[in-house]
Amino acid sequence: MKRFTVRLLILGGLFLALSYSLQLFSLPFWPEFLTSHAQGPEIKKFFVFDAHMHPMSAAYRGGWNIGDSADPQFSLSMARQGGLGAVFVNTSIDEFYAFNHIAVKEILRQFNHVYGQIAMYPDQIGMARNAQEVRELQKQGKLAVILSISGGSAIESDLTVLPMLHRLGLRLISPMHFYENSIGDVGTSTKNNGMGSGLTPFGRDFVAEMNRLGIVIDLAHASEQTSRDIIEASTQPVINSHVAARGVLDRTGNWSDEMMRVLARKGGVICVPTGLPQRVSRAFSEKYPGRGVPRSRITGTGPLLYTGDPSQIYDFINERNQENELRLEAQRRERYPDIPPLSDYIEHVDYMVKVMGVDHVGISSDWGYPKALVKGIENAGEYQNIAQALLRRGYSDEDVAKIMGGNVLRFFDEVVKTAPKLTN
Amino acid sequence: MKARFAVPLALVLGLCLALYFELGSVLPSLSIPLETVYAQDSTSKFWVFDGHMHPTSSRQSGNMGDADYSFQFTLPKAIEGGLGAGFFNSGVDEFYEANHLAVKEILRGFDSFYRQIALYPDQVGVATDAQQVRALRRQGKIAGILSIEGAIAIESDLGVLRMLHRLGLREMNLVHNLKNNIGDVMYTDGKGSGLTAYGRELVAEMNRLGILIDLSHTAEQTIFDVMAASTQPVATTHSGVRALVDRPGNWSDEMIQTLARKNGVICVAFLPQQVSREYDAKWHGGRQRGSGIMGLEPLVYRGDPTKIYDFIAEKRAGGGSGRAEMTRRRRQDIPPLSNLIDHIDYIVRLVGADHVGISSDWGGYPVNIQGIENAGEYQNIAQALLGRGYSREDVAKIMGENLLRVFDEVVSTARN
Repeated sequence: MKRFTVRLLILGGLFLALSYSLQLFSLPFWPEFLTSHAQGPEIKKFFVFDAHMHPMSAAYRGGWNIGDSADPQFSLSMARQGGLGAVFVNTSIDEFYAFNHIAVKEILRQFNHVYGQIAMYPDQIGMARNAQEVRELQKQGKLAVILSISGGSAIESDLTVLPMLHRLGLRLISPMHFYENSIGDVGTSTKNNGMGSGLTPFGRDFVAEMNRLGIVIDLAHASEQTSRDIIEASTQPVINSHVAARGVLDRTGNWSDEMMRVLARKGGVICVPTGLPQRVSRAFSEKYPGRGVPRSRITGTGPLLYTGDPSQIYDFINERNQENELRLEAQRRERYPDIPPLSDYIEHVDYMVKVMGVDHVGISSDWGYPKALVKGIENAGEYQNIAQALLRRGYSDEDVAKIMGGNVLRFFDEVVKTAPKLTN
Repeated sequence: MKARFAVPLALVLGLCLALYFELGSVLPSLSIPLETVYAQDSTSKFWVFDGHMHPTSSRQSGNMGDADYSFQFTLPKAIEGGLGAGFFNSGVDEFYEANHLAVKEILRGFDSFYRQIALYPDQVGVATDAQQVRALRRQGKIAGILSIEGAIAIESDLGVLRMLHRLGLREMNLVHNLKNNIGDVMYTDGKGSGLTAYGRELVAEMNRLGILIDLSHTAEQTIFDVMAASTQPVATTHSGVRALVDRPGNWSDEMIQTLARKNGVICVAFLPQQVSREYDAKWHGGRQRGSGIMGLEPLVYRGDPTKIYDFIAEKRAGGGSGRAEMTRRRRQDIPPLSNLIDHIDYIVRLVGADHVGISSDWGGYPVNIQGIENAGEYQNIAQALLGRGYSREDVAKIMGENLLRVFDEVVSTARN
């Protein structure tokens, strides 16, 4: 009787191990059509932590819900299909808002929108304020949303605003967005031979307060000098949520090997965006070089100060946003035939792994604005194509898991965990 | 051997748990609330719930535990006076709203609230519902409840309100110094205008979230409209009785009766102009105050946007020495405590003891009433009421239990 039980256990264990490993190792060899469709047997998906996207901003501007299929790049069903587990969901502040003293209000409006969207889909999404909550949501099969801000101008240069936003769940800010601000300079800056100016004295206080609260500092859009200063000033590791490698494509904004090593030495992570083909593809970048100058989403290169009727300021913004949307959509259509192959994207990931090691590379999308993308990852349902491409290049399962999300989660955990105990 | 112990142990544990939960569900249904038992102990201080105060204002320098923090309020004084809970207000002037600075200003106020309270974890705590107030009370700590004076703070955006509620906001008045897009201010002709369409949305959202609506500063017509529109009890945290002192902001019998029918509460403030006819006539005369920064001048700032905070600082500093002299002279006319008690007494005679409370407005107005000039002196009101023959139970209600009841009802009937 006892022997029978033991045999049964061994057999059962073998069966489980076999089916698990079959699923695991057969993945790269599965035909393409099986992975891009939800039908057929459930295949193993890597947990994805997308370090930068604005699907809620798109819904906010467009007036739809993220569960609708209004956005061709992102919907909840796509995200599920793509294996998306966690995201830094960015609210977005253009310097225009801060210049006209409406940034703090605007950020609360956008936070309210994110909370509202999450409340609409309680079975599919939840807000996470630390890595443990991400893992709990993952166990429940829900997408973990981490409240983030693109644009440190959101606090209107007032550090007392920061603890209140942290209390509301904020866990990442990219201090820089489109223009130089009270914290530092942007990547498109021409100052200092293109290095841009550095972190300001206020910027240093800002970094210290971010560290104290345990809010991730994202160096996306920051000038090289500001990035270097922040990496040095920060007591915690930092991230660059969307940047590519200068070693692969020498272009404004892409990072040099040295910058990457400096960031990696601090325990940081760099994420390659799928939504910025001009950053990853030489051909695309040469054909569409971009303006390369600081530009507000609201006023372009015009003055940031609004001088019209104060009661009309939101109408003014809405009009500009609509114009923008149309302009970007036209641009997307124009550029679509030239979008680069997935291999161009993988090239950057691969290069970064070689420069920094596999523990410091992640992925991001930048969904949320109409734009040309990279072939094979044109919506949130297609993340796993990156994993397959990496496996095909000979990456181990473990390494692919790190790149697809493990690294960013580990990094996020460290920033939140090492924050000094809050005094308020 | 082990199993033999485990069974009785589990039984005992189970019994304990069952008893615990059973008692928990039975206790609240007993007719004598715990608070009342406390209050009947003749040696103890009455528990005070102050309906309106500014102890953590972001404009105040220093910390509230400092002996020189403010002549009206310091933490040691508040403890001495028996303060148990308070609506800790952040005020927003109309100038901020007109120039898109109000939301930021209120977050500054909230940050100051949290920072100040975090400095004194053994004396003060943050409460967002009545249960937390009671828990802090059992620990002998003061409960700070985050409040806003002037709903213009949300800059007409209900999404902002929801975020402020998430930050702990539980009490807010609708108008501050000037008529706004919600309703009319007390400095108006006659009953003034009523609640606007947006004002109705705001009232509904405050009800849904469970934020106590405070009708201080509000015009009569707007007050009646809010009382009709609100599904929850409302309060006015600093108003006197119009029958005793006929001035803007003081309430008529009809208003008080309507409020009582809604199970609300009116807090009589230690504000001399509201309780003393002589003081009001001499120093206020019902004049419209206007914005605290601009008076009745236009509110929209047209100067250099980077200098707007300097402009505010200049305006606030203006007349600094004159103001100190004015305060000194006004203080010479400070009315007796009996004036304040008369207002409380009038309301009790009109609608009973369940609908009246007290408030200080510490930090809001520099002159108070004889015997209640700082937070150490709350109990003088209790003594005066006992002296007029009030029962200890009624005194306990007036000193704080009524306001706690209303706060509890509003927060616990929220539908968010």
